[in-house]
Formats: sequence, C-alpha cells, structure tokens
Amino acid sequence: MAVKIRLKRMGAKKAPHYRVVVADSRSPRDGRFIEEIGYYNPVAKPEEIKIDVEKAKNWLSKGAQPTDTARALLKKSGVIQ
Amino acid sequence: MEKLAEVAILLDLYGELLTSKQRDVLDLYYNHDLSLAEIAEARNISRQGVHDLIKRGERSLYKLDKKLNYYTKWSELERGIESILEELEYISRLSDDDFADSPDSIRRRLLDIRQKLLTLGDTWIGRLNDGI
Repeated sequence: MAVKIRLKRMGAKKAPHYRVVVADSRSPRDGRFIEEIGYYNPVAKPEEIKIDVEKAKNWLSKGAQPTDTARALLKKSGVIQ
Repeated sequence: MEKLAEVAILLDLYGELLTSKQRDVLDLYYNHDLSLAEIAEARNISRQGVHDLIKRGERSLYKLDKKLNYYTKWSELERGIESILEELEYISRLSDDDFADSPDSIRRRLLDIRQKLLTLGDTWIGRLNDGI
C-alpha cells in the first residue's frame, strides 16, 4: 500500500486552507486519511505553516511519499533539507 | 506556493466558466493535491492530456480575472468589511463618558466608516448617492 503525504483543502470558498494529511494513495478523494500531521494557511498574512515534525519524520522513514506541495511545506518547516 | 492559493481562489470565482473537464482536473490538482499521474489514472487520460487541461484551464482563469478583476475586488471587499467591523466594535465598546467627552472623535470615526462604505459601494454597485 502506497502511502502519501498530501494537502487536503478545507475552508470556505475564496478562503482556502489546507490540512497536511497522511493518506492511502488509492483513496485520495473520499476524504479518508490515516493521520493529520499539520496545516497550512496560505491566505493568512504572514502565511501559517504548522507541521508535527516528529510525526512527519516518522512517516517519511516508513516510506510515505510527499506530493510536490507537501514536500515544499516539509522543507519550509525543516523536516527535510 | 502562493500559486496554489491563487489558482484555488480563481477556481472558486470562475470555475463555472471553464469546461467541465478543465474544472474537474483543476479541482483534483489544486484542491485535492493529486499528481498529474494520479489524475491521468483516475480519469483515464494521458499524463500529457492532464497537463494540457491544467495549463489551458489556468490560462482561462487568469484571462477571465484580467477582464473581471474579481480577485482584487474581492480582497478589497474582505479587507473593507473587516476594518468597518473593527471600527464599529471599537465604538460599541466606548463608555458613556467617552461619548460625552469626545463626540467629535466619534463623529470622525463614523464619517470614516461612511467613506469606506462609499468606496466599497463604488467598486461593487457603481456610484452611491453621496447626498447626505
């Protein structure tokens, strides 16, 4: 089972914010996810990024694949170089 | 990363004006964070096809916004309403003494709120009647 770290959009119309979740790659849209490891609010000024570094590292070490956007957030929060 | 929120908002504003295929693929890409390959598999089209739909859809969104300018107008509306609410809350918290001691400053604040409403009215519904 491939596990991915991806963003999941929440929030009202015209005010997007995102949860960073660990999810099975086969059920990307049905809303189910394994664990929430952070959030990202790009609309706030300054933008807010909160990642549980321990959880993120743990999932990465188990082979979870971050999407490009999730990877960028993990970089910004210092989980990966 | 800013592009993510930007396109997501443009999609909220103008999504209905795109073709249903473009809208669907942009939704999967920007709201569900699926990769090109995942979208290609889910929709049974080539990766290149997904890429083209996204590029064309994005181009349409930016073109529509250039004409209609709702992104900027919407942000201004949001900021305007927020600042008016803050002003009103400030005034509502003033004590009776504040009202008695500095009626002029309160009047100035009210006129300032009025000006902000006029500005928003201009943007959204044309010039409002200014004859108070």
